[in-house]
Amino acid sequence: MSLFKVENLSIQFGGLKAVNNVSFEVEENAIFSIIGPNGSGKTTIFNLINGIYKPDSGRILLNGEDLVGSRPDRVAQKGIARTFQNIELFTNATVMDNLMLGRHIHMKTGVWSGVTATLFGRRSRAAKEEVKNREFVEQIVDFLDLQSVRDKFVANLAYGKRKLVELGRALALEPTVLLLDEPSAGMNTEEKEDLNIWIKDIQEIYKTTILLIEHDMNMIMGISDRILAINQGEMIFEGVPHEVQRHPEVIKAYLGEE
Amino acid sequence: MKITKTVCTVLLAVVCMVAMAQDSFAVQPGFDGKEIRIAQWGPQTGPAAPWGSVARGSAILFNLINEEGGIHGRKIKYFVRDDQYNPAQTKAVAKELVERQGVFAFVGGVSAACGMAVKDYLAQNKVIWCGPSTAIVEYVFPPQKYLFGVYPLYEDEASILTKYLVEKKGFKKIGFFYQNDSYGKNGLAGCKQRLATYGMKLVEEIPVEPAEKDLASQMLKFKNSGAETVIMWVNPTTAVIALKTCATIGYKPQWVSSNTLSDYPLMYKISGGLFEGVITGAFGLTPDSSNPLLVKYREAAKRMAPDERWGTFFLAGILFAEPFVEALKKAGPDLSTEGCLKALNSIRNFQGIGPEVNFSEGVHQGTDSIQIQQCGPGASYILLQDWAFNDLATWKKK
Amino acid sequence: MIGQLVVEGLAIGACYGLLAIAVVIIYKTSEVVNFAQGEMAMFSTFVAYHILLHYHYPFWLAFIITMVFAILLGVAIEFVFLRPAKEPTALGLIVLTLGAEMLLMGLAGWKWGAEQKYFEIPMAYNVTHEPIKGIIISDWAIGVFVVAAVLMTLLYLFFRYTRLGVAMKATQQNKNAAKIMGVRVERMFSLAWGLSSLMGAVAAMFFASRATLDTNFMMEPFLRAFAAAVLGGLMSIPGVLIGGELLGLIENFFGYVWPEWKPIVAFLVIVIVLCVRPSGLFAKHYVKKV
Repeated sequence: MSLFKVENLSIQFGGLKAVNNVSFEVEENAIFSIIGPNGSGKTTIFNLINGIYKPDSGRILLNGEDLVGSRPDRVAQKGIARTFQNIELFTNATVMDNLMLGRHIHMKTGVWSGVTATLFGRRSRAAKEEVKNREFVEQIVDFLDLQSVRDKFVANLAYGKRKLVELGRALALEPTVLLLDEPSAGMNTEEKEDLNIWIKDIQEIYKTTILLIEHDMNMIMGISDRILAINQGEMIFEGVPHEVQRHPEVIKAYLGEE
Repeated sequence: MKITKTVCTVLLAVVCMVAMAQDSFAVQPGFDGKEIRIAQWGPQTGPAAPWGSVARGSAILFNLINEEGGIHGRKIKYFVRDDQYNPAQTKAVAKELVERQGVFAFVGGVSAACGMAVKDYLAQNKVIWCGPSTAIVEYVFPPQKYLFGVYPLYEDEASILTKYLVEKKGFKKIGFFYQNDSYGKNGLAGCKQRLATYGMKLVEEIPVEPAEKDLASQMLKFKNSGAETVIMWVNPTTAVIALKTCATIGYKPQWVSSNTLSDYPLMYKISGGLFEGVITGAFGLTPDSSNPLLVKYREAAKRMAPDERWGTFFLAGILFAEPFVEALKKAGPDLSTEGCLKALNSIRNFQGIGPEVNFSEGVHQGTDSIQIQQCGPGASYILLQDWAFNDLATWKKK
Repeated sequence: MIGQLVVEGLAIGACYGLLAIAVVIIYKTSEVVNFAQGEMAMFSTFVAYHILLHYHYPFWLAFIITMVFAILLGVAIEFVFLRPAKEPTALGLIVLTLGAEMLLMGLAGWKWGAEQKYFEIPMAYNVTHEPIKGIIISDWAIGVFVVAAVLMTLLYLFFRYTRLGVAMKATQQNKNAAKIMGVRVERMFSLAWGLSSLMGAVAAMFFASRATLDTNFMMEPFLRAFAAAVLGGLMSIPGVLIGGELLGLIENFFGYVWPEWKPIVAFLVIVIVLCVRPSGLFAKHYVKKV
């Protein structure tokens, strides 16, 4: 059985079929890419997985458990993390604060331990937990090479760095499945090359299963295990990179236009 | 289902008929051989509800009269309506009382704004209005045919109080703290007029908005001016804040106030006892007075309304209604609106539990007299000066 | 005299500041100026009054019960009035809070009547000290300063170090991102309203003990607190406390020289600040990129 599975997913917005009967399966620890022209419904699929939208029909299965109907925060707790096309960071906070927020679901303590932490400082359970979480986040800082900006406010960072911070924050959740929505958008060639390596590393080191939306075909073809092509909410083709590359309808709908 | 519907329809029809039938009972002159219909509005609910006791107090007087056989054989039928201190609501209840209940006259009536809202309407319908529970110049100057005032004007009250402070207490430095509206400004004018006769000036005069909650700078200004006494023409909350603030900054002038704050038990309670020692004007005898008439009312109130607090405002309800009852008696058994007006205009030297009242064709402000009282220990009433009139009253000279 | 004006200005300013913090906590989370703020605080103060009068509990026990009540009241109002609104406009939200305000006023008037009440706290206004000749400071003022300082510290620790506080801050900055991080955003809304209601109730107890307790006693302080919040920038918690202090000082100094203008100066300040620095004196100008 596949780790992650989408079955007959559909959603309409006022008569417009944004996603229509989409199904796919993702193997554990694979990189699965979704391609398609702008407005073809790629981000909508992510929003459906996250629980931001509720599908009209279909199922979204993680380890056989249906996620449909779960609120976004429940989906996160079940191990699905994500980055956004337009970057959704806490801009009035530092890089470290943002990354620590990624650890939110791993902090078990509630109000009372918060109070005891305030009162008893380092000896409390909450303080010990914080140390553990901080260690995890430090690893991510090293991994993504964010040392130089760790205490800077996100509002003051360059676009490319922000993309990385968002990736780091998603990683901090220790997700089972990581959804990356156009991670390379706005990056220069050099940054893109680094990103390529990082995604590969995430797959290998963190053993994360990755769903990727990308426009950069070189990157897609290079790192994807399987690719799904969609157009106007409909599946066109799903397969390994070299099959997709040759598929006439994919070429017509998407590659041809490039 | 069907039965319920039928029952509802029948009920509705009956209600309609009863309602309409009541309408046809209403007789225009406001009285018949058995009863005289008298009404009053007053806030029974809403922010000003504490003043609603005025309207309930009047009921004691009317009940007493009815117990004693009424006036020339007619019993008084008394209507109280809750207008929630809202002029629009006052208009509605006045209309209902005049057009549906057919009342002969109104007594009392709290709030200047509410009164002004219905003043002309009542005059147009030739309904007598005697003893509004507010002192407003527009009620009595120029005299209105159907409207008679019993409440001493604020200008007169301030003048009498100032005279007392200067002549009896020997204060040289006087401050004036007033609400920034006609109530406060009338008081200020009376005080200044009196001071001018001594060639004196206020050492400090400070206006305040009714809702102000921080009075620190104002009180510091009084303290700095060296005022030995401060006269306040404000509302109860403002007075409490002023007293508390002065307790904080260590300033202890002799506080003096208009009769608006003469409900000592209330003021004592909400000021945490700081009201003790405050001197106020008063339009009625002290609630614990041994005046025989007042004793009679007090006993009646105990019997008829045991749950009511025998306080200044409740007592005021009786006081404001007394002159009208007197006029009804004078008008004789052959009652009419014109006859009653004639009787009112001929009232001379009438005294109930309030000041002496005089009306004439040309003067419908019945009095310019107040008592001066002081809040003693445990909110007791101390009489400082008996009824005194204002020799400077400008309106009497006209 | 100047020293005394400073003490009084700072004391009342701290009260404005506390109430302004309550306004800001909700503003940052729900993005609405909560016009029921003053009346929520008024209602809680009446609850304290009721407990003290009818059950004769010691003040601190009554205080704790009231604080719990205030939190529940805030949570309930958010749940009943704001949560059901689907895709509300800013105006729609304001109207909802106005509805809550009227309901609370009506309920309080019905339960406790319109007559003013005497409300006392252990920090008495009439117990005074004179540390420097000519400057008198009451227990009440000391109480205000201590409580404001303690609450500020607790809020700082809460938002800086607790999981809940951090999650709330995250929600205030970016709701979508917070959701994706596993934060239960709805709960953060409840929490914000509860916390804000609590802060407001503390401020209201200070106001009530300085004036009288009645159903409208928080209307004027709310307007001042709103002015303080605008002055402080509506976004930063220390900023609005400083805003409150500044307002208290401006009002008292201005009011000392021109008493007629005292009630208006707060609103002049709002207008001037909005013209000169729309984001307030202490807020970092913050625009969300779309």
